[in-house]
This record gives sequence, structure tokens and C-alpha cells, in this order.
Amino acid sequence: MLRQTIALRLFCICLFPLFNGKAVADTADSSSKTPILNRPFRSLQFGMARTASVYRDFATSPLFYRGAPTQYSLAWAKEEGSHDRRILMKYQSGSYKPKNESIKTPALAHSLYLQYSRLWYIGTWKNTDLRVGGMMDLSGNLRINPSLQNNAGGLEIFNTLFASARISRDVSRKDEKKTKILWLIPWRKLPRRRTISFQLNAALMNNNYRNGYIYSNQANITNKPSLVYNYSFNAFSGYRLNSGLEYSIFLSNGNAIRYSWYWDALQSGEEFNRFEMGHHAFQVAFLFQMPKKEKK
Amino acid sequence: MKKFVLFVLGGFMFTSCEKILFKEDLASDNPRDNFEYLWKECRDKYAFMQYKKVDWQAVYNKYSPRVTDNISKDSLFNTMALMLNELRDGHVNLVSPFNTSVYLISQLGPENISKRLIEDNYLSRPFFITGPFVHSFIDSGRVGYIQFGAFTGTVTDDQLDYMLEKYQNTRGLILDLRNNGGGAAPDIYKIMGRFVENKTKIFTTKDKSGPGPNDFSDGLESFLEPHNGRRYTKKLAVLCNRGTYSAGSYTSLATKALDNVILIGDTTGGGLGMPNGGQLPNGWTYRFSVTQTLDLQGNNYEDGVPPDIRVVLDPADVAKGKDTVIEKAVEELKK
Repeated sequence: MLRQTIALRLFCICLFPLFNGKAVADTADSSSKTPILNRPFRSLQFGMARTASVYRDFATSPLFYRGAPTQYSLAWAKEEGSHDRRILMKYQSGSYKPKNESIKTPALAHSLYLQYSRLWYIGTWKNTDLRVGGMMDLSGNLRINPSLQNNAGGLEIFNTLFASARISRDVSRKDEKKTKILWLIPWRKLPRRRTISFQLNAALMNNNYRNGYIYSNQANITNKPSLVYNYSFNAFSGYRLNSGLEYSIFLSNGNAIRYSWYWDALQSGEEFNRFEMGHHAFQVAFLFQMPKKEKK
Repeated sequence: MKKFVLFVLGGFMFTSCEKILFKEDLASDNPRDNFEYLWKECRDKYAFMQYKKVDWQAVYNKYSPRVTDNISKDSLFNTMALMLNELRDGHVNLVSPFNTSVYLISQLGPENISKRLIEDNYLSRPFFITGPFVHSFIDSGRVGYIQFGAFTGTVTDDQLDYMLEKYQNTRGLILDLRNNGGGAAPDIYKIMGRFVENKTKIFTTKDKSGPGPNDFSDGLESFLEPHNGRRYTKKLAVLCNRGTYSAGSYTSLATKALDNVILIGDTTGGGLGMPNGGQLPNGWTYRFSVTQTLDLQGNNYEDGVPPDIRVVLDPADVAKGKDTVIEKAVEELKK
């Protein structure tokens, strides 16, 4: 609880400059109400990431299970000067094991994420755009750990409404530069549009749909087969925090390559059977520019 | 620009530590940590502490002094296994890479079955093996005898159709569940659904819902649905002994709600609680019961479902090549 409070307060501190942005903008010479990143960009994004993931489900084990599953993502994004939107679907799958060497059988976990985010431009401060908004996330895990016998299967769904803030900066190379690769091969660095952004999302509302106290699914005993036997919906339970660092390089054809590092951590909040999960994902994504719809 | 990059990277590094949201790492090989963890898990989740009148604190006081910092893994395992066996429950196990603890319920009563005697004197040659069932005509073709050794989860409608068609003209059927230690619960409904004509309530199940000894969910009723196909409407005798456990006991309990079914033999081993599965800080695993199942009158038969007719093997019968329990069942089916 204390950690949640600390995390929430830190987030509020981080957000403070955003809500105070107008005053700063009014007085600072370098401020403006025109976004630095104001070039409309609609794109379809395909990404693949290598992750470092960890989870722990106190219902069955006090041990952290760690793995490096592969993550695939598909997103549609519309970035305009004043208003950004993104719809994202991510799937990750892989095996996990605790550090304990006596445990030979790995657990498998499949995770699916659906996200919708919307950010509004607030202002520019020292050539850095500030956007705030929100993100809705619906994610679920299906886990299989044969060593846990009747509790081998785990299924949980999380739903989080985030408050989001993003700072972005144009780090484009404006002029052509001549250089040499390894001091030998002449190389011309052409002007290139590049952006870097950092987004922080902190949960305002975290809900989950999880197993009940006994965890075990005894639907077969009662002859009422169900994947979610004895499950309960827990509103405003637990906490979640995530962030993303994105570096995008735009190509001459209008498409882009984005290198990203995403982090996500959540805990379900219950006193008993608490669930915790965290991911670090290093992603490479291809952003294909979508043509703008003509207005009739 | 450099300041911006440093700020962004710093911010990311600062926020990307999940430890701010997680509890501390509890992985431990410390004997005390593991003993305490297992004891607390049982205290909070085991479903029959009150029913079995187990003083779990007294159990702690008995075994805790044996757990010292330099206790060997083998001794720690044995100490924790002995602690778990105080629950007197066949659904309780401790599993380590080098040993698995068990509580042998079947040894609480006579074995009450001789497989060789049945093979020699009841299973006529050639007898039939249909999936997990071994079966044959007995009593000069007047009774069908079906031995079901384990709820393997592989029972199919085709198997049951084959057997019920074969024995459709018999006076009655015997389903021998002696030494059936249980297994997959869906088999209960597949099999027993062949012996009911109407939807029939058979028992009620309650889940542990909190750490208190009496914290249970509302009872969830279970019903047998008649199979939409070939059924057997004549009498069925279900045979049981102390080795009839878990799904075997659930089936035995279900017979109490069925008019055309009679339970014959010795009290079953019980095991009417669904076991969970969990892991200790050192990676060993355990399981114990987290639910209770009650009959239609609210009786808890966790310690064993009593038969309608108690019969034990008579050594004089065995000497003559007779299974006293089967003979009694045949006699009852002829009534």
C-alpha cells in the first residue's frame, strides 16, 4: 500500500509540470502553443519485441517466475499535432522458470493486450511537446504450470484506465553531414526526420477478474464445466504503472522504423492470492504510412 | 538536447523498476521459512480442519522444534510430511525432487478384494477390456460385472454403449470400484448418467472462501443428467472398499441419491475434498483439500462413504474361490 502511494505521488509530481505548463509557456521565451511534432502521420505498425518478464501468483507459489517471451504487436496510430490516437494489440508467449534449480518443468504463459490511447497536446516547453490523456488497457494471461497439479492452469484478466503523459522531441538531422565509417569509408548522412518520446501511464482505475480464494477449478466435480469457476471481479484493486521510450526514424518514402523500450508492471492488490507481473520489452517496429482519407 | 535525452532515460530507468509494486522476493531454502509457509497455507486453506478436529497450533508446537537451521533436506522433508499426515487425508502430499509423501487411506481397513480371485473365478474367458473397463458376464450370464480401476478421464460414450448393449438383458449390473483411487471427475457423470432417468441432485459442494476454519462459499448443487442415448434401467450394485477414494467416493456418494443403485462393501476411503496445488519457497510442491462435499442430508463423509450393505471378504469364501462382496451383490440384484 505504501509503495502504491509512493508511486502515485511520484507520478503526480511528474505530471505537475504538465498542468503547470501554461504558466511556464506564458513566461518562457522558448515556449509556444504550436507543437514541434505537428506533421500528421497515420500508420499501421508491426512490431516484434524480446522481453524480460516476471510474474508471481501468490495463490500457488511465493516464487517469481522469469522468462524471455517473444512479443508481437499490431497497432494503428493517428498522430496529429493536437491529438494522437493509438489502437494496439500485443501478444506474447513463452516459458517461465523460477531461479530455483530444482524446478525442472517450466511454466508456459500466453498474454494478450488490447489498448486504446488518446493524447491531447498541451503545450511546448523548451522544444519539447507535452501531451496528456488516457489509455484503456484490457489484458489477460493464460498460464500453464504442470508442477502445480490441480492448480496447473491460471487465467486472469486485467482492465486498467491510465492517466497518460508524453513528452516528445524532434531530433531530426536538418542538414547533410559528411563523415567516414571507421575513418576510411566516406559516408553522407542525409537529412532525416527523427523523433524521440517518453510516455508514462499510471493507473487511475485497476480492475481484475481472477480466481477465487481456493484458486482450484472444481467445475468438473459439479458437472458445470467452466474456465472461470469461482472467479470474481475486483474493482479498483491493485495498481499498474507502465512507460515507453520510443525513438522513430522516418524514411524517405514516408514510412518509419521505431525502436522502443516498454515497461509494464502490475499487481492485483488482493491481500490473499495477490498476482504480480512485469515486462521489459525491447521492440523494433515498422510503421507504414497510411494514406489520408479524402473528404468527399 | 543532451539534457532531454538524459531526462528521458533517467525517467525511464526510474519508472521501470517493478519492485516498487511488488512484494519482496520470498524464494528461500531456509528450513524455517519453508516450514512456516506450509503450515500457514494449510491453516488458511485446508478445508477439513474443523471437521477432523485437528488442533493445527498443537501440530505446529509438536513439529516446529524439529526444524533447525542445520536440518538436512531429507529430515526437513520428513518433518513436514509428518506434519501433513496429521491431517489424515489421502489428498495431502508433499513433493520434492527426491521424495513424495503420502497418507495411505486404504490401509485403514481390510483390502476386501483379491484381483487374482476375480480373474480366476469371475472373469470368464475371454473377458472384455473396453477402454479402462474390464468386464464379463457372471452368474451364468444373468449379471454383468464391470471392473473400473481408475477414473482415467478416457471414458467414452462408445465404450459405455458397447457394454450396456452387451448386458442389456441381464438382471443387474455390478460396477466394481474397489481400489479405485479416483482421477478425472467427468467420468463420474459419464458413467452414472447411464443409470438415471431424470435429472437428479446428488451432492452439494462448498469451497473454502477465507482463512477462517468455517469460511466456506454457499453450497453448489451437483446434478446427474440422464444420458441422451442408451441407458440401463435395472439394478446396479456398486462395490467399494477403503481403497475407493476421491472420484470413487464421489461416485459412491452419488449412489445414495439413486433408488436403483445399491452400495456394497466396506466404507470408502473418503477424499471428498478437491485438492489444490502449490509451491513452497524452496520449490517443493504440496497439495491438500480445499473443498467439502456433502450428501443431500448435509452429511460430510470425508472420512469415508458408508455402504448400504457392509460386506467384507470372508476367508472361508476366499478359500472356496468366492468373492463375498460380489456374491452379496449378485444376491441383491436377484431380489
